[in-house]
Parts: sequence; C-alpha cells; structure tokens
Amino acid sequence: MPSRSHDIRLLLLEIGLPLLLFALIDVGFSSYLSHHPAVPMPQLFGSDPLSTGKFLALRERALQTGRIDVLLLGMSQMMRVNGEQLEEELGEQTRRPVRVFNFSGPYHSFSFDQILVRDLIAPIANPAIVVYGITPLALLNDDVTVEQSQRRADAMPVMATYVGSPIARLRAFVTMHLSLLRYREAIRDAFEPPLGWKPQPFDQQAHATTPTGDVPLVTGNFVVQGMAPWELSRKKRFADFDSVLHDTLLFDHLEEFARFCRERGIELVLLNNPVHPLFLEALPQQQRDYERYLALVRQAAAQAHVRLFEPAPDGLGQPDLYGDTVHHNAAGGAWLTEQVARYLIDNRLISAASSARESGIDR
Amino acid sequence: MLFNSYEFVVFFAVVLVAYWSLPARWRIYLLLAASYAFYASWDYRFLSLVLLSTVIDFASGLAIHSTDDPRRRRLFLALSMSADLGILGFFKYYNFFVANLRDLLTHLGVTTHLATLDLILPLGISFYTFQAMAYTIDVYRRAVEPSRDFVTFATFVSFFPHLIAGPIMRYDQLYPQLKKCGPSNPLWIRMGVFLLLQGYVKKVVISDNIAPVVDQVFGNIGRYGAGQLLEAALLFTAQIYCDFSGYSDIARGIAYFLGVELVPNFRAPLLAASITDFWRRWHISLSHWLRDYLYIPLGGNRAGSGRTYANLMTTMLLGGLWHGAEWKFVAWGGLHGVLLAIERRFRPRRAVPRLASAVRRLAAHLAGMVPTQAVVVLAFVFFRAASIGDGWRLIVGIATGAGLAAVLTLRLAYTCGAIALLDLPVLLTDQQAWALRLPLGARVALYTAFLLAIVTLSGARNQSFIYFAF
Repeated sequence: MPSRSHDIRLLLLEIGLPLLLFALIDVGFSSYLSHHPAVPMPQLFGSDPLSTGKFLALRERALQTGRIDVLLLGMSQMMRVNGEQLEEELGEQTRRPVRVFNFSGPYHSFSFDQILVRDLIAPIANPAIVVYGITPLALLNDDVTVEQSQRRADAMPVMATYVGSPIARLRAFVTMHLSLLRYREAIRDAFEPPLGWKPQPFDQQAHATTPTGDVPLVTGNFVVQGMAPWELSRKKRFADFDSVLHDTLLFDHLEEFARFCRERGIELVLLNNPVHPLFLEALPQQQRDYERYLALVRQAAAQAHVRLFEPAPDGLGQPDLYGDTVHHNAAGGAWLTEQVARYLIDNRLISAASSARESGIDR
Repeated sequence: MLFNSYEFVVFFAVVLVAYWSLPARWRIYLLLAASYAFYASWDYRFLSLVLLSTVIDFASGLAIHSTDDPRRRRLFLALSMSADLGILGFFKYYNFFVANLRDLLTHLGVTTHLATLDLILPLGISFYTFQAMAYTIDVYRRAVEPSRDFVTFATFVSFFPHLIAGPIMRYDQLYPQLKKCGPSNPLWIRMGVFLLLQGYVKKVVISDNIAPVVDQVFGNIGRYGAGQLLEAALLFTAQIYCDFSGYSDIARGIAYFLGVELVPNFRAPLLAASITDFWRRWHISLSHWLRDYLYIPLGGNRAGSGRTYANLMTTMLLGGLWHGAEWKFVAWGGLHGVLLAIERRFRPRRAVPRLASAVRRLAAHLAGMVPTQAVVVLAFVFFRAASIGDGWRLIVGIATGAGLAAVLTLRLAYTCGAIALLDLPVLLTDQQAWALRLPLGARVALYTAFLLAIVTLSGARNQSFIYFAF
C-alpha cells in the first residue's frame, strides 16, 4: 500500500513535470519560429495575417519607443504610403524623431478600426495623429453595424489583450505569452493533409513587416490599361450606385470615429485617396457618381469637424503612378507619402503634436 | 460557463482554493453557493426550478418517511412524482405533445386551437429531476433514510460538477460524501488530474474538431456522396461519445479535487462487442436508472418472454424520449430496443466456454465488435439528423455506395486512432484511471502530450456540450 507521502510526491511530479516539459517545448518552439521564415503567421486576427504581422511589429516598436506620432489607417490603398519614408521626411523637416506606423490593410473599415485603435493600438501607444485614407471602395466596406464589427472583433484571439473583462484579458495574456497557443491554428492546419506548414497568401509579406508597419508590396511600374477581372467585380457591386450611397454606413462610422478621436485627443486627418481615372468605369455614371461621392465625403468631413486632405482636388491621380485602378505603384506610393508629409508639416500638425507631448499634455 | 472556458477555469480555481482553505463545516455552504452560482451563470431564472425541485423532493422524503400508512406513503410519492414529472413534462415535452395532438386531430378532421408555447429548456433539467426522483423513490422503498439537512440535500441535487449533464448520482452514493465534505487525498487528486486532462482532450481536441464537419454534412445531406456521408456518420458517433464522456471525465475529475467520487458513466462503449455490452458501457448512470426505476418495476424479465420484450421496448423508447422531445430520439431508443430484443432472443442459452488464447479472445471480441458498432453508428444517424426522414436519406445515400472510398480520410484515422488510444486500456484493464498504472516516465509523457494537444489542437471554437440540450 503506497504511503500518503509517496502519493503526494507522485502528485507533485505528475503535475510539475508535464508543466515543465510543456514550458520547455514552448520555448523550443519559439526558438524554432524565430529561425524558420516559412512558418505561417499566427491567426491573431483570424484569417488576416497582415494585421497580425502589423500588430506584432507595433508591439515590438512600442516596447522600444513607447509612442506613435502618426498612425496610418485605411484599406489596402493606404499600404502604399511608406511609413519609413514618412518618418524620415517628417524627422528631417521637424528635426526631431517622429514615429510613424502604418496599420492599414485590406478590408479595414471605420467601425473595425475604431475597435482596433481603442482596444489594441491606443493601450500600447496612443497615436497623436491618425491619417485615415478612403476611396469609394470604403462605401462597400463599411457595410456592417458597429455591433457586427464588434462581434467580428470579439472572435479574434488578440482583441482582449489590453481591455475587456478580466477573463478575456487572461485569455489574451495566455495567448500572447505561449507561442504554442498563439500559433494554434497554424499548428492545427499543419495536421490537415498534406502534413506540414501551408503558408497562406500574405503570410510572407506579414512576416516581413517592418518596424514602421510597412510590408513589401508587388508594385511594378507598368501602365494600367483597364480593370483586372477582380476589379471588374466592383462594377457589379456599384451597379446601383444610389442604393450603395443609401445603404452604406461609411459616413455614420466616420462621424463616430471622429468623435472617438476627439475624445482621445487624437488629431484625425481624412485622406481622400486619389484613384486612377479608369476607376470611374466601375461607377455607372462614372464622373458624375464620383463627384457625388466626393461631395458626400467633403460634407461628412465638415459635419464631423475633421480635416480633409485631398492630394488631387478632383480625386483623380496621375495614371503612371498606379499599379491598378486603386493602388499606387512604387513611384505613386513615394509621391503619396511626400504629399502626406507635406500636409502634416504645412498644417503644423506634427509640431503641434510633438509640443503637446513635450509639454506633458495627456493625450 | 462551459467547462472548456477560461471563465470556468477561474471559477474552479477560486472554488478549489476556498474549499481547501475552509473548515469542513463551512464547505457544504461553499459548494451550494458555488453550484447555484454556476447554474445562475447560464440562466439565473431557472435556478428557481432547481430550488423548487429540491424543496418538493426534500419535503416528500420527510413526508413519506413520517408515516407507515401505505396509502399515505403512495400519495406522497405520487404527489412528488407528479410535481417532478410535471415540471419536466411542461418544459421539455409540452410543445411536442401539443404539436402531435394537434396534427393527429387535424388528421381526423377535428379543428383545434391548441397553441405551442415559446419555452426555453432549462439546462440539466432531465438530469437533476431524475436524480431527485430516484431519491424520493428510494425513500419510499425504504432503501435510504430521508435527508433532514436541507443544505446538504440541496447540494446533492445541484452539485455543480455533474449538475448539467450527469452522471446521475444516487442519494446513497453522493449524499454521504457531501455530508462529510472531507478533504480530497493525493490519490484522488492524481486520478482527478488524469480524468481532467483526458476529458479535455476528448472534448476540445477530438469532439470540437469533428463538430464542424458533422454539422456541414448533416445539414446538407443531398450534396454529399456515400463516402462523405459514411464518414460523417462515423464521426458523429465519435463526436457524441467524446463530447459526453469528455464532460463526464471532467465532472469526475473536478469532483475528485473536491473530495467527492462520482460514478463512471462510460467504459469504452465504442469497443463493445454486443448491444447489451454497449449499454453496460454507454451512459451507465442513465442505464442503471432506467433499469432500477423503470424496467424492473415494470416486471423486468420475470414475467415471461413476451412481457420481457415489451418491458425492454418500453424502457428503451422512454430512454430515447428522455433525450429530447422529438420522434427521432424515440426512433433511436426504439432501434436499440429492437436490437436488444433480438440479441436476447438469439443469445446462447449456455455460457460460452472461455477461449484459451488471448488472440482467440481478441478475435472473438472483434467479431462481435464490428457488427455491433455498425448498428450503433446507424442508430446514431437518427439521433443526429434533423428528422427521421433526413436520417433515412443519409442511410440511403450511404447504401448507394457511390464514392465510398472517400470515407478514408486522415481526419477519420486521427479520430479512430485517438479513441482507440484512450479506450483500449479501459477495455483491457477495466480501470478508468488506467494511466496511474503506467510508469512515472510514461505518465509524464502522456500528460505532456495531453497538454500539448489541448493547447494546440483544440477546436477553433468553443462548442457547447451536446448533452446540455437534454
């Protein structure tokens, strides 16, 4: 008959040793990850590896600098604004270090980004300025209510990292500190046939996210001659443009986002991203519909008391600066970055933000 | 608050620390408060039903015991049964009977205005009602003394580890343990650790990963070929087993930490070699309940073969109906009743001579296991399908045989392999906590593998336990 002390010893070993082994395996796995570039991204944002890459880069950056002066947000067209270049230009102009981070990505929307800034970005590094870029595609993307966006965000393992109920924070804390848990979905996927890692589209880009939130983009300098098949699908969605304008929640969400920024002391700049002239073919009444859109954006910005920056007053960019009808190519990205830098300097937004920080105003 | 949620982990940690810190006399209050808080976290409104059931059976037990007059004892028992079954019947079966009665009358040309009600099924009602009813019947049979301690009795009815989905405990099994509220011991905690880990593996690793595939196929039967339909049928059997037995393992593991031993509810049923053997291994606490409080009181097998078969069918049909107010559950129970009757009719009259070699015994077991599990899977199709018609469509789809090779998926192999790994030792050793017999190194490796599987391979979404719906 085993003694009680024998049972206690066994109990401690049976609980302690597996936990120790588990911890060692987690450490080993972390080391493997850091030496293995082909590993898929952890699915902290569900099936959006780019946001995961950006979030991890932002966290890393915030640990070093603790602040972000300019946060770039919006859909994928904003990914062409180069954070590193913007940082350099603003630094040169103001002669002080300026921190820029680009958190834009495909399918972002005002309603989702408000949750993103509130729950993830601000708790790490409350930005002084947000430059939010939109194109007419945003009309289609801000199509769900704030509640629906919240539900979507709640399903993302990362979302309660800094806010939420104590239980949600505990869950997020564990997720962020155990590599095995953070990469759970990637590991599960590896067990599906064929065995092994299956990098998803964008995984490699996400892995290469720079400290300023930039990801390497395929943006060759070729002439855009028309809409690609995937771009033509928009034509169908814009077919009843009146309904699109009627149904979109873009302007409501913009107003809400502007209020949110004001309350947080964040300066919001709405950037009207110019599009390639061929983009107008996606709209039923082409120029007329685009002008209606521009008028609504201007009206919404005025009502929400938001600065509106329009690098091209007619909303149309130079054709040779585009990779497709919405996204700039490398030269276009550089041009747009310069425009943003100039706008922030000319309007003294950077110096105002920096002075406010230096004088200790709590933003 | 699902067992597989962070909320529950925190809740249990707090309860455990408090339980171990408190003097013995206060522990029962803690357990009752924790059990009510656990139930209220689902829906506090239905806590009143748990309390009502508790009060009815507590008072009935005392009333029955207070008199020797058989008529008065029967009256108190009848009142108690009527109240318990009335509550259960109203919440679980009212709409079913009204809808069927209305259909029948309409069929007969009688117009009625019987309306169904917008009722929510209170969680765990079938489990705690059966447990409380068994107590009153036991007091009536003078098998147990009634409780005079309301707090302990209320904890007996609502003890949180098994409140929602069993195992259904008998009064003489659970009440004395709660009355003592003693500390746990290292051996029980070791058993608890193993059962908890095994339960979570079954639930979150095996069952939750199968669930989306099963839902997809059973929700769109017409779209899939024979192979995929067969895979879904096999996977659902694995899913419901791992879901329910995983819950039972977790419940038993938690209870061990609190110094309480709950009865085992499963003993490797998917390795059973006959339908009779299956029911000795599947949902054991319900099988025993039905045997002791329904089959035997109906006469069991003591009143001739015709009556025995009728009793068997009645028990299995009602057992099926216990799972839910739908004809498909009745069909499932009925199918098992028929299979049990057939087995009973054709079983050998004399004991089979024990086979000498282990290989022959294994071969004999396999020879029984394969057809048994085939009909178990077949019957579970009706259990899972949206209706009997859908279940039949799925079986016909499999029978066409078109693309049957598609059943051989890696997913099915993982699932079968994992179940075999966990259940073969149970079959061979007849020990629930079989891992405790392994050498320490093997045990540590096994627990580490369990931890790794739970963390990395658990299903993408927390799925509720299937038996919560019953």
